[in-house]
Amino acid sequence: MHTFELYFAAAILAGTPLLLAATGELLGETVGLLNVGIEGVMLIGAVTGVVVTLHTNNAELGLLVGALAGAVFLLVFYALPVVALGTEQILPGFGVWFVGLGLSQLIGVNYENTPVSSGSTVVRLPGIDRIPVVKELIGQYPWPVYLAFVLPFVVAWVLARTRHGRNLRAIGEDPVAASAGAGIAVRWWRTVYVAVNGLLGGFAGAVLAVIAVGEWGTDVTAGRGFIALAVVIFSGWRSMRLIVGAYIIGALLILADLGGALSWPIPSEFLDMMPYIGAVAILTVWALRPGRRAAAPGSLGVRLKYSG
Amino acid sequence: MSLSLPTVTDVHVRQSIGVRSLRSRWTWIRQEPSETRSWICRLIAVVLALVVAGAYLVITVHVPDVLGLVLRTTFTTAPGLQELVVLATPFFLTAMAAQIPLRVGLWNVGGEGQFFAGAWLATAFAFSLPHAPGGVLIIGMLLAGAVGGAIWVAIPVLVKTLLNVNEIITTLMLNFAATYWIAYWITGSWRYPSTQGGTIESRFMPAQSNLPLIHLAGGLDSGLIIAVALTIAVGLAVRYSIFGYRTLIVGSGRAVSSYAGVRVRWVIALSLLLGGALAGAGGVLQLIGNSHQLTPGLSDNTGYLGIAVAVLAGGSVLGVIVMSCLLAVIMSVGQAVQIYGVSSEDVFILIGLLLLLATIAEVVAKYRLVRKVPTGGTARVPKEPVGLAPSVSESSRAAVAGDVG
Repeated sequence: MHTFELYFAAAILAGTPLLLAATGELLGETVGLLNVGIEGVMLIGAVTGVVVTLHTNNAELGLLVGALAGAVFLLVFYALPVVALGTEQILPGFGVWFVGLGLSQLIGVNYENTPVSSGSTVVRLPGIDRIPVVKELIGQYPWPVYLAFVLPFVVAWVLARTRHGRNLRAIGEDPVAASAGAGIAVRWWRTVYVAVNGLLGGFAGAVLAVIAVGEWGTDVTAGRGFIALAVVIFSGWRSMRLIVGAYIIGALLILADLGGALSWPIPSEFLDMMPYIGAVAILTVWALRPGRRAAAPGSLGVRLKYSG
Repeated sequence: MSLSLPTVTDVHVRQSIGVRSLRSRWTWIRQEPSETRSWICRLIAVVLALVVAGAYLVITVHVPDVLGLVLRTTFTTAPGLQELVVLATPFFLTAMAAQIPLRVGLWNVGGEGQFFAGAWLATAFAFSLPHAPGGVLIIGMLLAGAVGGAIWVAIPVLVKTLLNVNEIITTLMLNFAATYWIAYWITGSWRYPSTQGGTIESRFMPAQSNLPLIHLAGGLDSGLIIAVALTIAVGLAVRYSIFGYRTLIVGSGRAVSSYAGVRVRWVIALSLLLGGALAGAGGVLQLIGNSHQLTPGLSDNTGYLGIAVAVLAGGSVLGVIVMSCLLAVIMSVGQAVQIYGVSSEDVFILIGLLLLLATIAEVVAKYRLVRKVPTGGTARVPKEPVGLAPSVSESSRAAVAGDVG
């Protein structure tokens, strides 16, 4: 039976967009910016990724443009009000979501359900791709899967060990002190990390549409942007724990396919609900864990007012 | 948002306005905006967004006077007006569903799911008592809908009050669960037998549950009247009751209000449950007033758009009514221009822009250009040491994480 290997790989693939988006959001939240509109960013990334891939027959280019589109989109609709004008953070997030929802459908109206013919390059890990079972489990994925897996480790290292990472955490903890006491360019770095958040969110959407689903469809993300938000909270703002959360939800996302293939006696609608219930569940588990102390960056969601 | 208790005017001098020559004589003063001022700024935001949308329409659709044409058919013909009423009705209640928790500083993003859950429980009620007289059925379904909506928000309420789990995510996640829940029932035992292929719908509601038509403009459904009455009643009740006052107190600071003896968790729970109940009743109105079948198309993103209405309306009930009607006009225009190749989902872009501009308007409303007093006056206000100063909006902060409440 290859079912297990097959669904393990499918779960990893389904978890990858979540992991990418959650990593981006975690970086944004590290500098104190809560963006609830990742869903919209992912949709923009997804639609531009598919459109570019269909036109150029180059999935790599599609992914890149999708990521860039996400960054530009978030800079315009989130960094401009929140960082430049000092508005509160949640409402612009909803604005990003709504604009992304509408704009992606406007862009993608003629591309709906057109399958992407060219997939992304599958990387076979040297050495591992000779071992029978292991190679199917971890040895042969499109390259964004490996990138998504490695990124949280890089982020953890940067945040914990480098001067730049400490500066970012200082901004998130107390922007005023970071600016006044440490002379960190708060607005600049916040803008940069909004762009990074958008870049990874757009990339996540493009990976979802171009690689995992293989086509653009209206609201292809189906709440994954918000699940990513749940994954960030579940991680307790420690990037390596994002991996756990994202793959758990990834496994729940393919549950309906699995149930269909193995003809489980459970209605598929209930299996389809599982990722959403799962997101609520992991948040609850996070809140229930012993010795809980809020690990959120101190200024997360706090509105700054600028003068000068 | 004007959802805060009146506070002591806090005066900060805004240091720069960019133009040097003006800087010597004029200065920005920051203060809590008055109700009127923030309303004016929000209205300017709405007008700006509408101008952008109108310009887009005129540029993309090459039909002379397309706007005038569409608006005339909407406002001067009976079908246009009827459509407007049908579109506006569900917004009132889903907007209230978001607005009441907003007073506490909570985001009920689950209006969509609660809307469906209410319609679902009402359908279950109607199908189990198919021969009940119309009045009993209508009232019973509305109550069942309210209960259903409240049940759907119960889990977010539980984890919010006991564990302080972010309600934005939990309420939103349950929207998706609701769509699948509905799909399960209408593809299963409630399925309308002669539906072929693609569309799935439930059997029709018992005929006596259909809301009576009122013969105005060729058949207004009385759902609008129920919706408006319910909105005004709940709005006034919340505004003038102790509970409503407590929601504002909790919204302005949870730690302080619990010190003042307000049972914070209780207020949080009640406001969300009330919101859920209203959204559920909204779902029932749509069911018995308009569609008469439980379908996935029962809500045209009504729950999500309700959030936008609530935000634009600020704290007022009148605002909810005005903004619901405005949104109905926008949706109606959006549907009317579909024949010119504009998709109805484009409306979301407009709504998103509206939200962004409204947020910016809130900031703009806080600043006021005043003439500097030559000696003393504003000049004596100490300069802020750095470019930044936090002004904690406790609601959004506590929404993320923390151990308040």
